[in-house]
Order: sequence, then structure tokens, then C-alpha cells
Amino acid sequence: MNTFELEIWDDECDKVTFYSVRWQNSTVSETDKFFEKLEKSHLPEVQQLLVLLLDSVGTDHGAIDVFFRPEDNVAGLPPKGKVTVDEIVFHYQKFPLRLYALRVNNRQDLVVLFNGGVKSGETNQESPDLNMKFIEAKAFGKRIEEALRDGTIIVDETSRALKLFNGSDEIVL
Amino acid sequence: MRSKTAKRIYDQTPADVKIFVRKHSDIVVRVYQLLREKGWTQKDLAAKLEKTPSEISKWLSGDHNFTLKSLAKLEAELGAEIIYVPKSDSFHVQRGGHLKLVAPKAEPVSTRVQFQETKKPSHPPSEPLAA
Repeated sequence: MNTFELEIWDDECDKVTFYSVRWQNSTVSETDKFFEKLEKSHLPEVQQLLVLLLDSVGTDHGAIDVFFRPEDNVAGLPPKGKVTVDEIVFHYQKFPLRLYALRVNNRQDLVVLFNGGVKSGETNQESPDLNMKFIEAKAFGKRIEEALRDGTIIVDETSRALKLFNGSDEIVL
Repeated sequence: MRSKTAKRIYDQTPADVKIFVRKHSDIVVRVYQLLREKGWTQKDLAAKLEKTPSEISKWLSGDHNFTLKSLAKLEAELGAEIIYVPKSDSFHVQRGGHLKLVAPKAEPVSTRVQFQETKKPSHPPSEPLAA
């Protein structure tokens, strides 16, 4: 896996700081790619998902379980290595969009957003594009969780932010 | 700081979409919160409402839209308010027919009457005031 940067996607909400990941050779974060890709074909749903993120999760309730559905079940791995990548859930009539996310240390105030797609098949695994993004999200999540465990990145409680071990905001993993 | 893409799309999102998503989420969160407070599972709730667990699952997963009736059933069984509608005496009709919320019903309202000082008349009243 190539290196990527962990960067703030939104820190204007009252209850959550959202991060996204950006490949070092790209100028656009994976989450922005998700929204830009889908706004052409699914604008109403894109708007709904964005309001869910920024208003309901970010401002009103925080990253509580209701909005996150565990998507990962990496069977066979020891628990220490298990990464729980969630998908953001909008509880509304077979909502077709899936956006993958990681709640940092299972906290309600720090969320890393990845990419996602449209659930076109019966299951996520049967939705080809989505399944690829899910595998990618798991890889991002694994690298981030390892960095949290070994202290490469730390949670700065005062600023509700992630920092590199030396206090820097530039987090390249 | 907010992603420029997020800001652009959010700013172009119609107000009614923002209201709908926010209120819908509030209702779902409130129902889950009440279930947790009561220590009930969705299966328990289904039994109380004489519905099948899959019907309740559809309500809570959003596959079935909430109706006023379904919300009323939930409120009755859970014994708590899920949605709150301000009562009419909380509103003050403004010129042009617009309603303005003046105070939530539960909040105390000051009833103290304050009299305005009036200017002393420049000449005494023609008739003495009755005692």
C-alpha cells in the first residue's frame, strides 16, 4: 500500500472532527472523491448523506452506534489485528449509498471517512465497485489502527484532533 | 475548516432536505434511546406492539416510513414523547399572519405588569378625583 495523508475533512461541527485520507500522489481526499463521483448520478442521496454527517452526526448526536453499522468481520485474524470499519447508516428506505468510516478508538468525536459507493447488488460484496472500496477502507483502517497502537499517531484531547507523535498535524502513513 | 466539496454541496442542499434528515435522525435516535432506557430489544417492542420483529426492524432501519400512527403507537408503548409539537399558546401571531415562537409552553412567563410613567398634566384636573 502506498503512503497516504490523514487530513482534516471537517472540524467545524460541535461534536465530531472528521478526517479523511488522501493518497500522496492525489490532490483530492477519498471522501471528496466519493461525493464528487456520486453527486452527478445520486444528488438527492448525496445531499442527504452529507446532512446526516454534518448535522445529525457532527452537530446533534456525535458518532453514536445508531449511525454506524459494523461492516468488517475479518475472520481468522487475532482480535488484536481486527479492524472494524463501519459504514455510515441513514435509516431511510433502502438508502443506496455506502460510505465507509472508522471511529478512532471507538470514540464518538473522532471519525475517519474513507470512500464508498452505490450498493447495486443484493449485498455489498455483490456490488463490484463498492466491494473494492470496502477492501481499500479496511487497508486504510488497519494502517491507522496500527499507528494508533504503536503511538505513531496520538489523540490530542484538548483540540479533539489527531497528531503525529511529535505533535505535528501532518500525518503521513 | 471544511472540505470545499462538502461545503459546496451542503450549501446547495435545499432547506427542507436538511430539516427532513435531521428530524428523521432525531426520531430514530430517540426510539433507540428509549429502548435502551427500558432495556428492551426490538423483539420485546414487537411483542408489545403485536407486530412481527421484521416489521419493527423495518421501522427502525428505515425501510418503512414512520407515520403519525406508528409514532403514536411507539409513544404509547414506550411511555415517552418522541416528537414534540409546540402548543398554540407558545406562538404569537405577527402582522402578516406569521407565527413567532414567544416562549416554550413549559417555561415560566413573567406576569409582572410595568406601568409607564406619564407626564404630569400642565393644569389641574377640572374635577377632583373621587377618594
